[in-house]
Amino acid sequence: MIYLNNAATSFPKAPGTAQAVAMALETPPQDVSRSTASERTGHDCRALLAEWLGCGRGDVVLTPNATFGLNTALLGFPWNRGDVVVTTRAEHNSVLRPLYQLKKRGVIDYVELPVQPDGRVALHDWKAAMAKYKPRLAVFTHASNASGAVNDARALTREASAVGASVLVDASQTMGLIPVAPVEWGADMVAFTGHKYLLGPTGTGGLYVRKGLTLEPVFTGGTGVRSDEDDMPLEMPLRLEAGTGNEASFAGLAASLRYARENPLEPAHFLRLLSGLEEGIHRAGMEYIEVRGPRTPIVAAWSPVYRSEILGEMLALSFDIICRAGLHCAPHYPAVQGGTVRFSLSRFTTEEEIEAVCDALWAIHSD
Amino acid sequence: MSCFDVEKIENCYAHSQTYAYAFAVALDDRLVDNLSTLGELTINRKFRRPFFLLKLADGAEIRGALGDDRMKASFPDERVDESKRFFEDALAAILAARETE
Repeated sequence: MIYLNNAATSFPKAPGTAQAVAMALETPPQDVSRSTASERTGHDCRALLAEWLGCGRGDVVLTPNATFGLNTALLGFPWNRGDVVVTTRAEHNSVLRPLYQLKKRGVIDYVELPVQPDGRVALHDWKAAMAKYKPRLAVFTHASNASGAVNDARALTREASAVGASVLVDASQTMGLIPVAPVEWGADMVAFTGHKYLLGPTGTGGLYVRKGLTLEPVFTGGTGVRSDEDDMPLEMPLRLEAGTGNEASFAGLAASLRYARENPLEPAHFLRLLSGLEEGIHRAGMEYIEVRGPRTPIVAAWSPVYRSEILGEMLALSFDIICRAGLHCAPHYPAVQGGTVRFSLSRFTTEEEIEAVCDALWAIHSD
Repeated sequence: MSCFDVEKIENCYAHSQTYAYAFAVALDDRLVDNLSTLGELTINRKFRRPFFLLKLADGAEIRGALGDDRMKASFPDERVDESKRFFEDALAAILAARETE
């Protein structure tokens, strides 16, 4: 099987990840705040994530996924009724749906800025929107999950901050691929996931929260400390981490982070494979979203003959090629009506696999 | 007794009306030949596993791979019940005729 659906969830995982999950399940739990264990041993995923993000350990909230982190940020933000949010039309439903809920409850209003054909927001449009709406919060994806185009997070954050807006970045598609640097950017919150390009298990993710920004907890409950208080503690990240966490999966993510640290990505590898895949798509008579500049390893294509749903099924059933067909949960990014077939590579994708995909696309369209 | 199981497929297409049909036996040439009486059939036999696509006059699209035990059908959103019933009745009749042969 050829697996090219890494923008949804990665496979294979980093070497050592599965073993770390198994070991965590076979070892007595070490949560010092919820047992009489006197010493924490084993992984410290939070510290590894903080190192990755260039922030303090206490700035990283562990969550089950990016969606949970984005909801924690958006639903817990200290809104004033009537606040305005500016975001883009390339956002994932994990941003759009919480915003819609907040609007439905009468808490906020929000504006979705159009994006360029490749899914990237134009800096001058963003700057103009900041000046026009003076939002309380600006939200943007670091990279479009539907096209792979990477936004200039530093510049977008700078423009939003210039009008006093707080900034939330969705780094679901970039964490593990390119630097995600909230402190350097000046971003207030960054949500990410562990199971995509960090090559960790599903059920892992997180939210960076800038020191000094207090979010209201969306979920409340046991923290293992300050149990005599009615409210969640102010202390971060405990404030936003009610209940027992997914220790085993975070042990796996810690292993994958160590692997990534010891085995840095080679962007040239991706670029070469992406170029070959685009050539093959073009040769088959198909079209694809052209992305210039910084990008993630995605090619989103469509066929002049087959609907993307059927093309995806052909690839899976007849050629054992797994990708994703559809709108990719980014329904307001109108790149292609009817959706695309999205091929998303990983660091383990080979030239032989890309050649096999190109051959399959040629075979499908050469009848 | 039903000769196939049917299950709605959830996907992210707007107004998707796609269903999966599962059979006790693998899809073979004869079954696909029988289905071809319902519409325009194309079979890509050059593929590693041949893929068939049947387009019905009402816009329904039936497809799958020979040798598999499932196929999928997408029905037009505006008349999904009528289109689905027509296809399932025809499919049941074809399978029943095979059993009595």
